[in-house]
Amino acid sequence: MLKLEEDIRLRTLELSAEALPAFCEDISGMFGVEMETVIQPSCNETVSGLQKRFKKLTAINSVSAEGVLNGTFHVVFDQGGLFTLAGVVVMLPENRIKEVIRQGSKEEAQRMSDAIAELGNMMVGTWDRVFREALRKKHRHFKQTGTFIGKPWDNPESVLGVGAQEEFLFMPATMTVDSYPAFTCGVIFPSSIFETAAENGPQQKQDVAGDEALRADDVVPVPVEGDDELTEPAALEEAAPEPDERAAEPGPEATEDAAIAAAGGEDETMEQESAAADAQEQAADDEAVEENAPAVVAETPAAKPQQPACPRPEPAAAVDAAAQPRFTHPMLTMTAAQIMQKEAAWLTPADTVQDAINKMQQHETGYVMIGDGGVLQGIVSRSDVAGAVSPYLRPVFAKWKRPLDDATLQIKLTWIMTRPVRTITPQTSLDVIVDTMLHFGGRCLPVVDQAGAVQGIVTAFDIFKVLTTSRDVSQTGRMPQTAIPLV
Amino acid sequence: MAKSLLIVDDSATMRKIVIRTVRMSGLDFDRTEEAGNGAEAIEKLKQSPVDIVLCDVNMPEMNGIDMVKKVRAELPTCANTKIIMVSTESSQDLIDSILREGANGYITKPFTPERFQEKLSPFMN
Ligand SMILES: [Mg+2]
Repeated sequence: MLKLEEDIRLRTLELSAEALPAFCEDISGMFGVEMETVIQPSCNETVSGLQKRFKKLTAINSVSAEGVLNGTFHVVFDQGGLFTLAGVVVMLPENRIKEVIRQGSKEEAQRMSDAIAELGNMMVGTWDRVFREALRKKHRHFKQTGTFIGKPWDNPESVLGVGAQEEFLFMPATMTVDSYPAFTCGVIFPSSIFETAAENGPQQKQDVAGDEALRADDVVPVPVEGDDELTEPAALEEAAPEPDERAAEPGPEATEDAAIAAAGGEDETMEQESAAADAQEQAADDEAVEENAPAVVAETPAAKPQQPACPRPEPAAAVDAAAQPRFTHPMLTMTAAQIMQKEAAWLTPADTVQDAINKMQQHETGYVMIGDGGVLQGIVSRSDVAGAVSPYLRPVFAKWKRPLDDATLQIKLTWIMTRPVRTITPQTSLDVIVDTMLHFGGRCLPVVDQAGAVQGIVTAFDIFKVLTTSRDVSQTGRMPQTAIPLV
Repeated sequence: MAKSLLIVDDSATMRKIVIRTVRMSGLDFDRTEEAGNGAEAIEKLKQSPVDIVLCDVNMPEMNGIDMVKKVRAELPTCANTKIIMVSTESSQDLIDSILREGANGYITKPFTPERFQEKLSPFMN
């Protein structure tokens, strides 16, 4: 392979590894979600390898490139990614997104094709920006030329422009959006996209080779699989401020970390169990595919030694397990409207932690809705508050208290509130509510109507109340006080 | 004073996203209309001019650039209408040429409510 062609391949991978996280950041800002990606090592891949990775439905955005790259490349999302991203784009309620991920019908996916196409447009916008900033005039144009929903391995030539046995460069990645299950995606670069770029005549070659932005010496290694980019609950807990780090001002970062730690810690065991179950299910799935697969086209790393053969894909989190209602108690057919608390406590993002404590006491609640004019922007729980305030405000630590500790009561709620908020509708059934709380954590779900107005809240405590109306359950002891989180 | 807005995009999904983002940006419009391409937008503008148009570039029938040209050449009642293009195209040459045709601003997709705030608020008074 020509050195120039190899330079272009490396530089393309490097910029693509910038473009995917940039896309996640753009979507996060646009739709108010938390979206992250982890890029995995790039490799040579074949269509049958793609089938093993993606298995079910895929969404493919094809992008034509002019400039340093010439030809068409493709961004592919697995079934979970297709429904999660399309659901976020068309602003489906969370429980509906989970439902479509679970059902995964092609008809439902086709109904979302406009969203998939727009998502592709936005992605092209991000990629265009990243390549233009890095390569300036050497990059001319990216344009989405089509979207495909289905199984590309059934007809790879027409969907991807590669033959069934042909190798192409593949950059795999995993993505997460909020607390929806992680999904797999990747970028497919047919070899011709580099060849035509490098064969664009001596003058173009000279231009490209002379461009500092493309010199191989400057190329940093393609990102390798990194686990430090994923934020595990345990890591978050470590990030929470230690009592020793006492000089820190009460700023947004420290308090956010603390709030996340408080929220994450609560559900750690459950999430680990769920992840383990997902991994098991995926492993079984992998085996089934392997058994049924026809003779797999051999990967030939020797043919292109500069690019390793693809490692076996990481088991992606299963998308089906999450939203499956698993309970059969007759009470579980009740709806949110029947069990919700109709009065919710409200504050604004500009109010303080002290205000939240006061509000929780006045309303005898552990949750405060945060918003302006009835528009829900976040939610603050007692554990958010506990994570934000200095532990030195507890009476037992009183003699070590410093003025800065009091300042933690003045932290604005905008810094500690949980957002975006998972919501349910008045029609959501109790089994789905229980499942949502078990799977995603959080013990309070605001109930919103079609116009997005909050009609009430359902807390875990409300569910206990419903379930304990059964006569064979007696109650003993006093009802718990809504304690100030500091004492 | 509240203003009127016309959103022109061939994608119904994108029109919804734009409406939502405008709302999140805190800008106050008392009338919001939609059109699926440039020709439809021209018809709506002929019937009832608006203060601000947010317009996609790539659309079938009549694209955004042709729409801007037509509004500026043939619709004197829209002389004060501000036209902001919304597109994934980020080439400076293209943006310059669109602004030369009479558009008043350019927002690239993906966008944020803050970006809408920044680009539209100068036209809100
Ligand atoms: Mg369009």
